[in-house]
Amino acid sequence: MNELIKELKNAKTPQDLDNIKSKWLGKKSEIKAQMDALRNLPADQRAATGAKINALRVQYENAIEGAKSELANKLVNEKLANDSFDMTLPGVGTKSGALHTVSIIEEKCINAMRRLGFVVATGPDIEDPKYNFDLLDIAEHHPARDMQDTFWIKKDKKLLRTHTTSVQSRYMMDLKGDESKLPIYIVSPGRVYRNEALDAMHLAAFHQFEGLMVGSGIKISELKGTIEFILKEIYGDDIKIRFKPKYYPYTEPSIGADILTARGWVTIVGAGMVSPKVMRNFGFDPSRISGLAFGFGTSRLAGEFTGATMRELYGMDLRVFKKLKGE
Amino acid sequence: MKFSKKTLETFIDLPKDLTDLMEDVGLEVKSIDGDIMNLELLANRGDHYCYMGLAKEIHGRTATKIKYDTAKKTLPLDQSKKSNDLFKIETDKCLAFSLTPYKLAKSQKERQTKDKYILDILNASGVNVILDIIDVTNVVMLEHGQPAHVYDADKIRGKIHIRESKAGEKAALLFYDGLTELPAGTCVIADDEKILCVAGVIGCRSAETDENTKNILVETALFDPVSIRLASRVIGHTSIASQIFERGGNYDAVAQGAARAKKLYEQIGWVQNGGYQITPDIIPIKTKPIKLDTNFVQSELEIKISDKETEERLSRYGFEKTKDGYQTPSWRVWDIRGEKADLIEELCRSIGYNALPSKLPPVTQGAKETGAEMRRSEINSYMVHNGFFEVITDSMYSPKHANAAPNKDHIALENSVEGGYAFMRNNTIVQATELVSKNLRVKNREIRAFEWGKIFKGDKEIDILWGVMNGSDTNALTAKTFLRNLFDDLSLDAKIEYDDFAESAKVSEWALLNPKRRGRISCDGRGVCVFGEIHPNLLNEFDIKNDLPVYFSFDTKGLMGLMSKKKKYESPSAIIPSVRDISVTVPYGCAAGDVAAFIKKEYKQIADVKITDVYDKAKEHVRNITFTLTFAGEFSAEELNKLILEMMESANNFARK
Repeated sequence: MNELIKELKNAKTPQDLDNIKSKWLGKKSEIKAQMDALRNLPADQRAATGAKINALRVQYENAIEGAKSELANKLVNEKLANDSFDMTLPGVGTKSGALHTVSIIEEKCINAMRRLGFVVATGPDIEDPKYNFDLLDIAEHHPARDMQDTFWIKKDKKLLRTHTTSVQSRYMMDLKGDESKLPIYIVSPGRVYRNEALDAMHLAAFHQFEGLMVGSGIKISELKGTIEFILKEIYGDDIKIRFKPKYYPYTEPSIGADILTARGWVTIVGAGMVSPKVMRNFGFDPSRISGLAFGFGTSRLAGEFTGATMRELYGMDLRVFKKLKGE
Repeated sequence: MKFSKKTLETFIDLPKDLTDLMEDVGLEVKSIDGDIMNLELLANRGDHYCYMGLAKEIHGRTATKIKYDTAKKTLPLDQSKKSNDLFKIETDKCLAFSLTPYKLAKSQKERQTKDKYILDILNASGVNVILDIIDVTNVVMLEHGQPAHVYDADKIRGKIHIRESKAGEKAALLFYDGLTELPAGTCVIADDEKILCVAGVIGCRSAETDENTKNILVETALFDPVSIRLASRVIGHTSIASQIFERGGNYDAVAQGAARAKKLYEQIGWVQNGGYQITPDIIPIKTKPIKLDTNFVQSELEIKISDKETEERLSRYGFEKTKDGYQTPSWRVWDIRGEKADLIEELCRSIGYNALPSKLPPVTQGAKETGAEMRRSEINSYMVHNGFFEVITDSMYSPKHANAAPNKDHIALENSVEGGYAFMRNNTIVQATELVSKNLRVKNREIRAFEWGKIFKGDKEIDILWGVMNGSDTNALTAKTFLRNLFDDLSLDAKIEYDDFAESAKVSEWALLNPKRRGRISCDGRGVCVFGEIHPNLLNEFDIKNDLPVYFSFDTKGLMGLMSKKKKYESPSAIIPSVRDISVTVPYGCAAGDVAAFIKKEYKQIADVKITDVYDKAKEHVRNITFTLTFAGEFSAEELNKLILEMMESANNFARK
């Protein structure tokens, strides 16, 4: 046994250990020879001698396995000690990207409004003035049109929509005054255009999110409730909200909703009850049918949430979006 | 518009929290600088352009008494001195008109305004202090919302006509050099010889007053809003007066303004000089009385309110109850349409929106996400996890961009104030290239961007999803894998083709992709995606030298309309397949994919062929391509060896041909 232990101590490689194992426990080993010799012993001695030999074999096996384990650990430790791998190197593989902040806000708003039963309606960017202005009671020579500097298309007297209210006009006109198709709950997020000189705050195109609910017996209280709901979804339950009079040609009463920010009160939402004239333009009788409408600028919200300028948010510099993601 | 708080306080007592009050009545306070507050006025309320208008609005909300003393501040025009021949109205664009002659009572050396009240009220609103007799007219306007104009009476020839300009007629406008031609039909004030004033917009030099003026005619009037707006636009001149007229003036204020002007003129030494003329029976712009019952108000506002309270609140805004309903005050005839909703809005303002109840609308069931919305979410998720950033780029672009597009048929914008927005884009490849160029310039080479946008072709708006990728490991083939994986994720059967699909003029923008490095993906026989490296010519235009950006674009309408295939699970075979590599020498011009397709087609024993290595031997104009073949079924070693030798020979023969 002592000799075996000595040999095991001198072993340097797993191969050395295999050789030792073969020598001490293999076919040509002494212990194998002793086992073979058992058959020549008298029957009454075989059991006791066999047990002795087996005990010795187990000792050899344990010693060899122990040495193997010790050597394996030693080799792993040596390998680890010599490992020059540098975990401070950057990770390998594709980093994730990100959705645009405007999309994230839009999606959040859509998901919230779905819970109230609103569905998304879409419409063309190049619009007939009828849907963008006329049906909405924005007269051609009224100062209200100054609120919405318009891009006109050269060819066919069309325009680039100045608000997504045009989508609501189309949706309502498609109902053809059929009260059985009411109530309708729609939101119309999308890109709108204003023909303005560009600066860090003003772009020729930005995004709006508008909603319209039309049916029987819709009241101002529900307009307020809907606005409070969406603002709390966006800003959280603790947000402070106040309402004030506004003017929009297509709503009456028209209201604005402000929220309290670190900069003071800021107007976020423009809204109102669909005006009787517009309701008639849509083919419905305002004495029976009423509606609420609201809208806000998702681009502006994106700017406020991120601190990025409009020009950055609508630019092509991907470093902006990486930074917004937190890289 | 800027107002002085101190001056407003001479009209009505103000609370300490004036800003909150102004916001609460819909007059947004943009800024406050000491005594001056800058208000954002509503686009439909001409009556807010003066102190009296603001006072009335505050009165309506708070019931605070208006303390402006009309009796002390005005002098009635002398009824015994009425004239009928000072002016003649010859157009229906003039709705009301008054003219009062004054003369300088005694010689005065000093003709500049010294009166502190007048100076303060003018300065607060940024109105130039010019000459006492002119300054008076501006005070009348700022106090009462009644624009007034003063003419040098000695420069007028004959009678005054309020008429429309004739074709080609010119006027010598104040602040403008030479003569300005007015569009025919512009409402003007003229004498027998010349135009004296463009009504409601700007005076003319021909009757301009100065320090030597001894006799004047003072006008107060009301003009048709649309005619004023058109004239203001054409001339390019906007003033407080024109803004009031555009939004609609107050017909009662024509006489009130004249009386206030008389008081102020007398204060500075001018006296009425002969008969004044005022449109004899100013015909109020009638609006029909509005019937409103309390039940309706209570139902709409969901509050308890009595008849008396309703009447009292509306009367504060000037709505008087008659037997036929509520009569609209003279200063509101332009924005009140005779609807019950008009009065409901007045009551809301009077009560305050914050005091009204709030509740959620009835909801029986939430709305479901549509199939298209779900697919869009899936695609967004895929894009983001593959390192793409969503961008929003312009739908319009410049002549430079338009020139780079093979399809010159663009929708042109008529009136863009920015030269960069001349056309609607009919492709996004040019912008994609610009995006790459801009990012390379700031040393950002790893580019992955996508956008849900539109392109505009003929009278069609086409919804697309486009993207661009660039970087050290990016080329048309990485894009191919990326797109293939997307289709797999969406469970769509995609077929990639490489034919010369860019020949059609309809999709000529694909010519902006490298003809040797582009592909088209179709599903169910419908082309839904095109991808490829951007054409070297376009890269040159944007000075991109060492990169090979790849562009892709989806027709989203087509993509959203495709049905996902149902996945049917099949357990992996228990048999470990035989896999062998073969090398085929493929001459330039022969596609490796075609060789792979040949092997698969010719040998039914092959379950799959993969191209696993390409070694380019440029000098010999060939590539050695390694195909890894997976065999279907079980074969002996001899069978496999025999089959492989046969395949190599036939594949090499195919490639050579």
